[in-house]
Amino acid sequence: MESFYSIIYYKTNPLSDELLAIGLLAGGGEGPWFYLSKKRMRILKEVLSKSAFFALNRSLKGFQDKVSHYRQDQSDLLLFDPYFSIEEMTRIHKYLNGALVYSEPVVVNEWMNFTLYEQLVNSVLGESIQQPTTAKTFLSQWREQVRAFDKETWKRNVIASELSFETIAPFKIDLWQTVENKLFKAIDFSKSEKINLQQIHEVVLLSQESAIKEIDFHVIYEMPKNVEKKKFVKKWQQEIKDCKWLTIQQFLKSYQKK
Amino acid sequence: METLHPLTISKSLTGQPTHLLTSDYRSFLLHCPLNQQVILTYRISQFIFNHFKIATRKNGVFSFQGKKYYCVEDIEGLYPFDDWYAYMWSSKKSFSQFLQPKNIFKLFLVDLFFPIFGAHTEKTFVGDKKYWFISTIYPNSDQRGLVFNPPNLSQLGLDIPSFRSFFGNLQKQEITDALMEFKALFHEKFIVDVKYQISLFSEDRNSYWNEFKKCASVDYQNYVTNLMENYIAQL
Repeated sequence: MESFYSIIYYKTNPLSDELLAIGLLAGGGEGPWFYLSKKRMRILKEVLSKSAFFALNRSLKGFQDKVSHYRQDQSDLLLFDPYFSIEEMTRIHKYLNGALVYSEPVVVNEWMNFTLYEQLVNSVLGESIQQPTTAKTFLSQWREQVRAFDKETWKRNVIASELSFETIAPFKIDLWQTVENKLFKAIDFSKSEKINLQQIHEVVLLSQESAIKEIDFHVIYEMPKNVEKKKFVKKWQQEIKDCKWLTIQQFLKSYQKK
Repeated sequence: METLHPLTISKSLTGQPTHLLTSDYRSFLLHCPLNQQVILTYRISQFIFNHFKIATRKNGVFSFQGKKYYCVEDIEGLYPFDDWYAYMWSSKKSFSQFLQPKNIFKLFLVDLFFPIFGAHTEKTFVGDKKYWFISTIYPNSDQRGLVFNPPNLSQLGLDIPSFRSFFGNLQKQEITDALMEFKALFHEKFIVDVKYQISLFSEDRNSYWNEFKKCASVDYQNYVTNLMENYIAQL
């Protein structure tokens, strides 16, 4: 199927005959992709009535989801023309006269891939696509580590009753090093106090087990930045002395690639 | 039809007059020159819309360089009810953003019960906190007078999967009630009132009435009711 792009405009005011390009739909090849310009949407936020902007934003976000689901699904049989095709966009351009206006699809003589789509967004809207950069949270960092350990000597997500513990509660232990008999359980102190207390409760119960004396029990944590939370963590560190408290950095230093 | 008093008339980039701003700052779109067909379609359709309590866009007449124009009010954030926007009602949660969704069903009923204008009702919704439906009917410039020409479901687009899924989100009872309510309002007095409206077009009233009579016939009404009941059952 041919590659194409279609510019999406919003008709801000018919009296001024004004159309503001707010997005770009690129189809064919590895597409479709839909780029929605945040900068231009901010202009519309200033110009439109609150309810009209709210509806537009909601509608475009829905469209964005539809396009990305369509791209990721890849469930269509290749025998059939894809939904986002030049023919469909031509129909939309001709018959969809509303607040949103779709330009006539423009054929691109190149295989549509992410690089080309990026270039088109830059050329047509003068913007560059920013990939969402998400800073790794403590939990995602920890889960990554848990997954990385050798399966033979490290068991992950072990239920406490599977060990020689007396408790029947289904407490989950993140990592169990079978050779040296070490247990690791993480507490994410960025969560609410209520959740933290539940996790601490689990740790307290486990640390009171008689079998724990033969096992090294470690609590992995990250010191929170909040002063109140810091006090909270320190208080529990003093309370629970039957286990070792390790920050994730200390854990990585001691156990990574072992 | 309201006579508009323009404050300004804006021209599009192609130099054609397009929009009219009235002295009370309402914006109207210049649709087409006013003729007998426009007046006929407007009068009868407006009477039907009012009777069945369907929200419509305001219409008006405006004289420009000795020529009268038929104008339709422009509303901010208008979206056509089209298969393209199916993602807006693909889930129950997003469907709940539509206010009185059975109103769009009423528009399809108008198209089915009154196939005399040579055009279908315009089905649009307004982007607001909740989407609400509004309609109008544009006169068919190729048709002269009223012509009875019943459409089938595919001509109306009712068999489009996304439209079926829209109505599928409604409870069957609710949609059946809307049909029954519509039928109940299609009573003798309404027919007499339409007859009076048609009688105002003195020259062609007989031919217009003969065409409208076909919509009011029991056979046709039963046919449409069965058609719609069958459609609802298959949703």
